[in-house]
Amino acid sequence: MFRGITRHKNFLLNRRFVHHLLKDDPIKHGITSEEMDTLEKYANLRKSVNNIQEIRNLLEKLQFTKSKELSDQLQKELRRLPNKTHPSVMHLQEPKVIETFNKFPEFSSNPEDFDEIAKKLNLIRTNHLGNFCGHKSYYFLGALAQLEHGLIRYALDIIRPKGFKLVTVPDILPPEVIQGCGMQTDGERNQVYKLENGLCLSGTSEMALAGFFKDKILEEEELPIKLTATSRCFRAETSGTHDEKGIYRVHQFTKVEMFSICSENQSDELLEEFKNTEIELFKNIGIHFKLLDMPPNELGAPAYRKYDIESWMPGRNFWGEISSCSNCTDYQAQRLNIKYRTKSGEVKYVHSVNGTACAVPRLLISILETFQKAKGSVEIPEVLRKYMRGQEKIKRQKQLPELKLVKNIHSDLK
Amino acid sequence: MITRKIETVRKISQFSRKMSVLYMTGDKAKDAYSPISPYIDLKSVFTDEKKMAQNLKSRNSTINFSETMEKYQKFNKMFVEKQSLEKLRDEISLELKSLQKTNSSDTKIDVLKEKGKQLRIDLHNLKETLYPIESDFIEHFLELPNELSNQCPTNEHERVVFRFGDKLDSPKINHLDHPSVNFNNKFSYYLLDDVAAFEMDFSYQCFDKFVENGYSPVTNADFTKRVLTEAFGSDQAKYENIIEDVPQVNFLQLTGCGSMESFLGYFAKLSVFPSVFPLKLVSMGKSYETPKTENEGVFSAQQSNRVQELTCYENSRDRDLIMDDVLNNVANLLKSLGAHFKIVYLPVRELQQAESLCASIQMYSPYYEKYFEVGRISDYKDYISKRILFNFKDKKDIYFGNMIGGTVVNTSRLAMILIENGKLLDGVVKKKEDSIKTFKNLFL
Repeated sequence: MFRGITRHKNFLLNRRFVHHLLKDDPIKHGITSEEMDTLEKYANLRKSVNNIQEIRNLLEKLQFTKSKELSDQLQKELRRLPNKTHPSVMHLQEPKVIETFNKFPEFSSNPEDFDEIAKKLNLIRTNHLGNFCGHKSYYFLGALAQLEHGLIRYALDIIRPKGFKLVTVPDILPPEVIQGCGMQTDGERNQVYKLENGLCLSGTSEMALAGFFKDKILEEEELPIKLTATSRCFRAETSGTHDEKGIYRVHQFTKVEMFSICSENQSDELLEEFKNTEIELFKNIGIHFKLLDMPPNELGAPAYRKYDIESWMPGRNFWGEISSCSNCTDYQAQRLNIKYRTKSGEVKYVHSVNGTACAVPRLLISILETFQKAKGSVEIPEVLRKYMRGQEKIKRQKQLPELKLVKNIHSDLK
Repeated sequence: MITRKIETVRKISQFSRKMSVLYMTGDKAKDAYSPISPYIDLKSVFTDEKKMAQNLKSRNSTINFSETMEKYQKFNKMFVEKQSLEKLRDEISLELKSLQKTNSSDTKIDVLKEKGKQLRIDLHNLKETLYPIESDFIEHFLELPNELSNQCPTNEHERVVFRFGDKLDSPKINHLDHPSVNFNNKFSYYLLDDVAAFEMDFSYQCFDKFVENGYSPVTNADFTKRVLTEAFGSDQAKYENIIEDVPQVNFLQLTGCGSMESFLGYFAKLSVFPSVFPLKLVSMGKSYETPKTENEGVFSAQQSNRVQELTCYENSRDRDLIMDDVLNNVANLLKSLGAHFKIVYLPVRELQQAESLCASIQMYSPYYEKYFEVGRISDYKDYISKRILFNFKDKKDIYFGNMIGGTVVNTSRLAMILIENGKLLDGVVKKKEDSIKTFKNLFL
C-alpha cells in the first residue's frame, strides 16, 4: 500500500523510528503496511486510544495531496502513540505482585472508613462547599492539616539526603509542556484544567520539571540529575464509585514528586532506586502495602515500565493506589526536545524517570484507616510524630467549630 | 430541554462577567442560583452618610456617593410602597379567610376577591419595576468600602509601627541574576536547590510558630467561586478564571490555598457559638494573584508561596490586642533573618475595599530602590462576615464575626529580597551565564 524504505526489522523497539516520524515528514520516508500492522499490534497492548487507523487514513491522504493541515494532524497523531514496553512485562495481562510489606491490620470490630473517622474527629469539611469552592473541594482541619504537612516534610527528609535537589515549580503551564509529557489537553472528558488565558493547570510537578529541561542539551557527566518538588496537583477527573468517595479522587491535592533526567544506560537502575525509596517511605510509616509490576495495558502512553504501590485501606476494604514510579525512557524527551551529549560527542535524547514520594489524600486515607483505635482516636505513626509536635494520637478536635450552617439571615432593607 | 438550559447559562455567563453574583434579585434567580444572600446593613451606611462620604474621599474612591444616595432613595420609596401593598394583600387574605369561616355574603367575598386579584397584579407589576432598581442600588451598595479603623492614618503618609535594622543601598544585585532563580515570565519561574529549600523551610518555620502560639492549622481549597471573591471585594481580574464544561454564573477562580479568599468557603453561612472565639487559623500554600506590576521578576509573578493567618473574634475591644499579637509573631520571625524590614499601617488611600486597617510588612530592595510587600495583615471587622453570613448568636440576637487576617509572609518574595540584600547563599551571587552552564553548576 505504501511505498516503504528498508528499515530496521525490529523498528518498533527502536525509539529512533518514532523520533524519525516526529521530526520529519513521514511521507518522504514512507511507512510500510507491515510497519503499520506492527504499530497497531503494539498500540493494542495499551489502554490508551488506538489511533493507528487514523494514522493509516492520514498517510493515505497524504500520498495524493501535500496538505500542511493533514501533515500537522499526522504529527499530532504520531505524538499520541505509546512508548515501547519493557520486555519483561510484555506478556503480563494483570499487575504482578512482587512483594507485600508490613503486617495486615487486624481490628476487633469493623474498621471505619476515612470519612467516618475524619468527620467524627472534626478533621475535615467536605459538605456544602460546591457553591463556594467547586465540586469535591475540601478543608483539612487541625491535626489532619498538620499530618498533611508532616507527611510532606517526612518525605522530603527521606529523599533529599539521597541526592534529590529541591525545586519550586510553576503550577500554571503552557499546554505544549503538558502534551509533551504524554497528557492530552483537548477533547472531552479531559483531565486537564484550562484557564481563560489559554494556559493549563499542572496535574503533577513531573510536567513542570520535565518542562524545565525543554530544548536543553546536557552533558553526559551531569547525568543523572535528580530533582524533587512539592506542588499542588490539579485534575479535572471525577469519579462516582463508592470506593472512590470522599477525598480518594479529588480535583486538587499536594504531592511530593521525584524526577530524574538521565542517560539511556541509567534509567532502568534509577527506576529501581525510585521504587526502593518509595518502599522505604511507606514501610517506615507502617501501612500494609504491596508492590506491583504493571502490565502494558496499565502503563498509559509515556511509561516503558511502571511500578505501582497499593495500600490496604481497611475501612474501604480494598487496595488503593498510593504511589507509582515510571521509566518513560526517551518518550518525554523526544516531545520536549531534551538531549545530552555523550562523552564521545554524540547527541542523544535523555531518559526520564518519575515517582510519587507522597500523594497526600490517599496516604491520609491509608494512615487514618490503618491506625484507627477503638476508642475513637488515631495513633500517629512514630516516624511522623516529630512533625506533629510530639503528639502520639489524634483525638477529637474541639478548637474548631462543629458544622452548623444558616440558610439565610434577613436584611432589613427599609 | 438540557440544551436550552445550557444555552441560558451560557448567555448569563457572558453577562455575569459584569453583573454581581453576590446579590441576585428575584428575576435573575429564575435562571441562576445564588448560593448566598449577603446581609445588607443599610444602617451602617445611611445613619451617618457624612462618615461614608469622608471615607470615600480619603480612599480616593471613584464611587459617586451622591449617586448611591439617589439610588437608595429611589429604591427605598418603591420598597416602602411594595411593603404597604404586601401588607394590604395580607390583610385582605386574612379578612377573606375569616369571612369564609363565618359564611358571610358572597357579594362581600367577591368584592374582596376582586380587590385581592387587582392587588396581586399591582404587586407583580411593582416587583417587576423594582427588580432593576433594587439590583442597581444593591450592586452600588456592595461596592462601598468598609468603615475605617481609628488606627488607620488618614493623611497621605504611612505610620511605622515597627522597624528592624537599616536599609542597605548596596549591593545592587538583581534576584534574576541569581543562578538558583530561573524566571521565564510572570506565569512561570523555577527556584532551585538552596533558594527553594529556604522558601520551604522558612514557610514551615512560620507555620510552626503560629501553631505553637495556638493557631489551628488548616488546608484550604485552591478554587474559589466568584460569589466569595466578590464578597471579599476582589476585582474580577485579580484571579484567573477556570474554564468549566458548563459555564456558570457563579464561576470558578484560581485563588490558591495560600490566599485570604480561600478561607472564606469554610466560613460561608457558618454559625458558631461565641465560645469558639478567638478562632485562630493558619494555612500554608500557593497564591495565584495576578500581579499589578510588570517586569519585576519574581516580585511581579502570579504564583507565590505564602503562610496565611486568619483570626476571627467577637468583640471590637479585642481588636488591637489581636493585631499586636499577629504582628509580634511576624516581627519575631523576620528578625531572625537579620535583614531590614518595617511594618507600617498603610495610609487610607492604599487600603483595599474590605480593609478597615492594613499593616503592611515591607522589605527593601537596593536593586529596585523600593520597598516590596512581603506580608499584609488587615482588619476586616465584620464587613466580610456580613457578606458571607459568618455569624454567631448571643442570647437571641445574631451578630457577625470580626476578622483579622492576611499574609504572614510571602516566602517567594522574601527569598528574592534576601538575595538582593546579599543574605541568601552567603552573598554568593553569580552573573547569569547561558542557562545550561548555570544549570550545570547547580546540579553537578
